[in-house]
Amino acid sequence: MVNHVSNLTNYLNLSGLFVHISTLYMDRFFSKMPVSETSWRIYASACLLLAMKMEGPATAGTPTDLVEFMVDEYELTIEHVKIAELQILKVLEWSLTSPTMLHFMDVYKVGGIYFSDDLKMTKGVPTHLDNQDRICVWEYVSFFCDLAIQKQEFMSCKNSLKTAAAIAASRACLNVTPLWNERLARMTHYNMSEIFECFYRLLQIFREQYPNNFPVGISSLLEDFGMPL
Amino acid sequence: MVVKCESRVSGKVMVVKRIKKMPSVSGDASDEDEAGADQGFPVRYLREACLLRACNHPNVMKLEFVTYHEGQIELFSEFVGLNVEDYISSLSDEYFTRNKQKHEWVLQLGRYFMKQVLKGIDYCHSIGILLRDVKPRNFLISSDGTLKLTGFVLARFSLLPEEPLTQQVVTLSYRAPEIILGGTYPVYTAPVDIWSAGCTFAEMITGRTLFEGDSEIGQLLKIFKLLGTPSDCNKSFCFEVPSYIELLPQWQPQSLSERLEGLCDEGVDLLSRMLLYHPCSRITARDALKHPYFQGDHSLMKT
Repeated sequence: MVNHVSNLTNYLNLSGLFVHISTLYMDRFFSKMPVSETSWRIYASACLLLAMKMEGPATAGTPTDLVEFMVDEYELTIEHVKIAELQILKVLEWSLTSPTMLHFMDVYKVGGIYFSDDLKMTKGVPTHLDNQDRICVWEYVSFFCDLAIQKQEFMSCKNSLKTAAAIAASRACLNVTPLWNERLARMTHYNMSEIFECFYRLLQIFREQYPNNFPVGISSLLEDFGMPL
Repeated sequence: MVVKCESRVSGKVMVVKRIKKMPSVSGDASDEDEAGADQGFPVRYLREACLLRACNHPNVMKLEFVTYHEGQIELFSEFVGLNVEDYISSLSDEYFTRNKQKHEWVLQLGRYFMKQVLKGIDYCHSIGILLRDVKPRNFLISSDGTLKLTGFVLARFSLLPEEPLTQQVVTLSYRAPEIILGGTYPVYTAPVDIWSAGCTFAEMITGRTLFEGDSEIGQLLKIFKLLGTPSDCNKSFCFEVPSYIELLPQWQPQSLSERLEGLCDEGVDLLSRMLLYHPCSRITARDALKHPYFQGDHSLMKT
């Protein structure tokens, strides 16, 4: 389903935020309302439609474009689309304002997730983070957030916790030390022990799915936690 | 269409906002957004319903439930009462004339209402709602004197939008300068509501709209004439400074205490912090509630 929405957002030239918002709606809707094999695409698309309306204005595709797509692709009328939207709204009790991981990422951006006293271990030598590292930290966080929405096992975790775990995983990938500190704990309201399970799974999935891109050195870092990958 | 109604089951008095029947085929609606002709459920009512639904605060109007039947949407909300704009209009000039006993009442009332305005705004900001239409008309007064924020049609979720936001928000008289001057890439956030709340505050005290321009440029001129032409430092509050700004006279800031006759020094100080040009320097709703203007017992005395 996430792939379906992701393809639609690509088709409509929308940002990843819309995938995250729609996934949030889908997780809640499909967990309460089983739908048939033939109609899940309609509801998944309607979740994206609601996300576009709540988050808009989009710079690219508009809700009208998506409605046209749904009408053509699924042989629906506009009234059918409205009914699908209303069914979702009813099941979600008109509550469409839950923050996604990307919303938390924005909040954490304001607070900052790397610090002047952070060190990166390069071939055993501690160095300060350069501009490229600072860009990479955010790219990794974004990557881990995208990874988390694809896996059902993370559904029960809070988005704030998953984002905090993504930050820790990002710092781990760049070999930043300390992995977690008091300032990050204060900002995210999570300490390392609370996010560890999610952090650990994110890294495991990363290694399983992208073994060639998995940074060396993480395994030894996790061994320090007594949790080798 | 908004009508008052009473539940046959609970006896509760409510208002119902009835949105005209949405057509089932595209093209026969005069107002696309109103009718949702080719977008499915209309955006503005979706946002209004979902954002009101997300709120649970004594200073925000409660949306009880939403119905959809045969293409017609109905939003059922608690019944509150008169809005602040109509209430101000109903007061005679005596209430806004210095040294009159009735003016003292208005000053007390302004503080009493303003605290509630800020509580409602602070709550919405704390849950990620940017209101974008704060004005006296969007505050309703209940029979026990509680102010309830309404008017969520232009509101949106997310205080840190990643995409440019529309400039077509906030009634012009209450529109923050960073929205008017936003150029082609308008980025604005919570401080726009504080600017509007400041304008609302002044209106409650004086009975008159603080800045009443007839166009966007006219609005800017009204603002600059009272608060002074922005300095180079303050011009950085917008992304693109239109060239005509350089051609404007260099007005000096006028005294707010003269404009808001009778308002105490703390009140004037609070207002000046709400009307700072630079959004980052503008006071937040939460800090405004801690301002000395609201310290102490300021319960409303009846006259």
